[in-house]
Amino acid sequence: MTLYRQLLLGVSALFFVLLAGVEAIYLSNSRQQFEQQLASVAQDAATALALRLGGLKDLKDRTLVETMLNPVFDRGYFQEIRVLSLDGETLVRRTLPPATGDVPAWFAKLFPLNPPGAQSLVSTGWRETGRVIVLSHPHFAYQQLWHSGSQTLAWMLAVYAVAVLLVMAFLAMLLRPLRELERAAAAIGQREFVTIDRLPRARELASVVTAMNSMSGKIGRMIEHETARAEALRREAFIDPLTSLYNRRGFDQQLQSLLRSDGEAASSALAIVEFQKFGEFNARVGFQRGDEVIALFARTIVGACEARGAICGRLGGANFAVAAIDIGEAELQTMLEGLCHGLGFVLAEQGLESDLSFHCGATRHEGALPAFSALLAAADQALERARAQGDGQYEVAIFDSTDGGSQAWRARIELAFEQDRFVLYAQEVRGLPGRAPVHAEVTVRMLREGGEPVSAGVFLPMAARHGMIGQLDHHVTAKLLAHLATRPASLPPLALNISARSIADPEAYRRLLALIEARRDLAPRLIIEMTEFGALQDSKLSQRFSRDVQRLGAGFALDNFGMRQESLILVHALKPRYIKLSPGYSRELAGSADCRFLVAAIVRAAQPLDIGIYAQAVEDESLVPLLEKLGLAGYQGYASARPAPL
Amino acid sequence: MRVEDAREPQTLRWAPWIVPCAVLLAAALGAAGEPGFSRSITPGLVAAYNAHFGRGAQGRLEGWQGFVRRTGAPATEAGLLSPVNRFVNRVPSETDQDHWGVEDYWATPAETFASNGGDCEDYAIAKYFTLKELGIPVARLRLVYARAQFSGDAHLVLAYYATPGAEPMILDNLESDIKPASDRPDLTPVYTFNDEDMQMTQRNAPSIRLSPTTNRKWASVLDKLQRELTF
Repeated sequence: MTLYRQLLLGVSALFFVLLAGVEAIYLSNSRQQFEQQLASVAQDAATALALRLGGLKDLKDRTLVETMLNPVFDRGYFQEIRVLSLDGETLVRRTLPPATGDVPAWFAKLFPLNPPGAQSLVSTGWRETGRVIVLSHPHFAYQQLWHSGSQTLAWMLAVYAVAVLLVMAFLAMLLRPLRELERAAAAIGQREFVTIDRLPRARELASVVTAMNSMSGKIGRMIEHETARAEALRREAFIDPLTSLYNRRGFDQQLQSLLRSDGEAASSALAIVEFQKFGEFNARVGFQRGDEVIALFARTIVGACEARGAICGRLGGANFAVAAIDIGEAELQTMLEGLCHGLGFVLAEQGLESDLSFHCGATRHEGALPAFSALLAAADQALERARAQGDGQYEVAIFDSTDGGSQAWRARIELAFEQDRFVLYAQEVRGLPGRAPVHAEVTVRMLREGGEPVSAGVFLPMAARHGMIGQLDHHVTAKLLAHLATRPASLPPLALNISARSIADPEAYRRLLALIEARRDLAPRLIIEMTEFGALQDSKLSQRFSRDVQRLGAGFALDNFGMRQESLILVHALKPRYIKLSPGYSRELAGSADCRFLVAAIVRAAQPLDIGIYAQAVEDESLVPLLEKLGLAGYQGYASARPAPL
Repeated sequence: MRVEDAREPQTLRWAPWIVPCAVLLAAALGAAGEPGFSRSITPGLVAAYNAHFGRGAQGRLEGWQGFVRRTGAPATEAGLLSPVNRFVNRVPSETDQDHWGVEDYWATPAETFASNGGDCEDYAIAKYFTLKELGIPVARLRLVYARAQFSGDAHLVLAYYATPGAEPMILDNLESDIKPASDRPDLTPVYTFNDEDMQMTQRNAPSIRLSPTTNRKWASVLDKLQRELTF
């Protein structure tokens, strides 16, 4: 229960007791007053009757005595009037049955009115003739006590209601800073290091808020600092200082990361631009002018390709590369034409046509994303042919790895949906230190008609091409949830990749969340992963998705993290549970000190945000001690486990 | 005696909590005597009244005690009436206004003797308690509101009934002799009461719980008597 409720309950209970006490005191005082009043009325009547009966010679004439009694008795205020002779014999007795009128019996029982009777001596002259006893009837008093009691009760209740309302308002005002504090604490729990701007007036709260602000600010600054360091190292290792494009290493890293974005792409493309005779030119005009020209080329290339979400790199000297996934053939042609045209224009403008020449070789793969080396080799071949064609030309080599055409794949995948020929595989991820399994990453394979499995890399681009990714993600999620329902709770949670295509489609988004929401009990054992590439597609949408997923109790994580420029900001916004580095890092770690520094910097920047960093594609046990030394949270790859059917 | 008064006498004031405390204390010490009796007068009360009413108070209180002791238990009740009447009547008559500073004040016997003054009801009360102490059953005594013919004033006397319903003997401060009622044409009886004589009534009307007093003035006298016991 919240402090507000407890206080409100306590104070209103206190008020209740107080007002109930006041009411009880009021009733009991009134009761006493009424009793005294009834006693006094009885005494008055007794005295008056005694005086009147004293006018009689004696009390023997009972009829006469009764007649004298009647006017008094018949007024109805008396329960009993009795006249006794001198010997104590009852001469006349008139009684009314006891009654409480319309007052409930419990009330009369709770507040009994038992006024004492009154007596008077009757004397005729000096001679005593008897006594008269009068007992008041309490029913009028009961009625009055009841009515004034209910009236005061109504007032008390009104006062009580007003008091409770006032207390509520007062407490709400008093505890408002506490609520802000709670919100801030919750935000900090969510790894958002916010500060509270308005200090509460209460001194105790103010010091708590100050301490919290200071702590939160320190951690926030530390994260900023570490993030900036990681960014600086990233630039140092991956960025060409002259052009701000990726350097050779950075480009390889990014391309490798890109080529693992299975669910996001139906195709991939790589273009290489080569300037000939640049070395001679450089020597002739000097490095400064040479650098100037290189920078100009780089700007032109970025200008022509950036809009397509392509990554651009300078491979060395005057060699550039541009890579993109999920790009159509016509788009690629347009892009290359623009690129060549732009570069030609720069040469003409700078008067360099005689000094320099360039050509461009490109390759495009339809379907399964090719291996890094295959893509590079194909682009090289195209470049060779372009060179043969002459200056300023481009050549595209088209590869279609779609076995039997994309329409055939569409039919194949649809049939697989119908017959549910998808199987789930899981690869255990081991934590560091300790190497205990922390979760397992789920991949999906499709079985062909004959039963032989097709890997995700092959059919996912086809599904992407035909807009079936949303359906597939839904299907696989449902399958996984069904599996989770039977999976022992002691086993580690399962992580599943969801494509940016699924969340870009509002209907698919809604259906996917509904699926998880229906099994909220299983959600804590489910982690939704998105690739860096996918999450960067629409960072606002990714943030919403991350929030929604975590609201349902499932985890959210980033996969295949190549550390592009915008990624560190995205990490702060997404608050993933963990980040899996793209495989390129694992390959480079052993050999490159830069890479180790960078990974260590990422780990440090993520630590205060409680984000674990995992290495992927760790094929060799011998790498694990290094990973542990660098502070990685765990690793995945053949060194952890081979994918096994769930 | 006036029927109405508005204020309490200024003589002795009591904090309201003293009474229950004092009564409890007295009960604990076993000191409680019979209220209103001369032998119940404590040395503390004598000292207090001495301080309040002047040195003579002690002597007058002792005079009352001596009278009761001397009189003892006589052969007949009727023989008692005259000495008691005479003894009490020796107290000078004062109006309440002059004596107590209020319109109407009913004093206890000790107050009456100690202050050496009183009006009709004070005499009647002093006689009532003295006769009670000397052994006359209260059932035979009545306080009677009457009108005095000569003065036309409201008056209060003590009446003694040898048997119920008999003609009473009148003890009056205006008259040194005890006379039967029929010999007092100057008095017109109006109303008779005796709040201590409840037993008979209670016996014959057991179902009714009766007020212990019917007269507020009388009740105040009983209160004061209780307090006097605690000195």
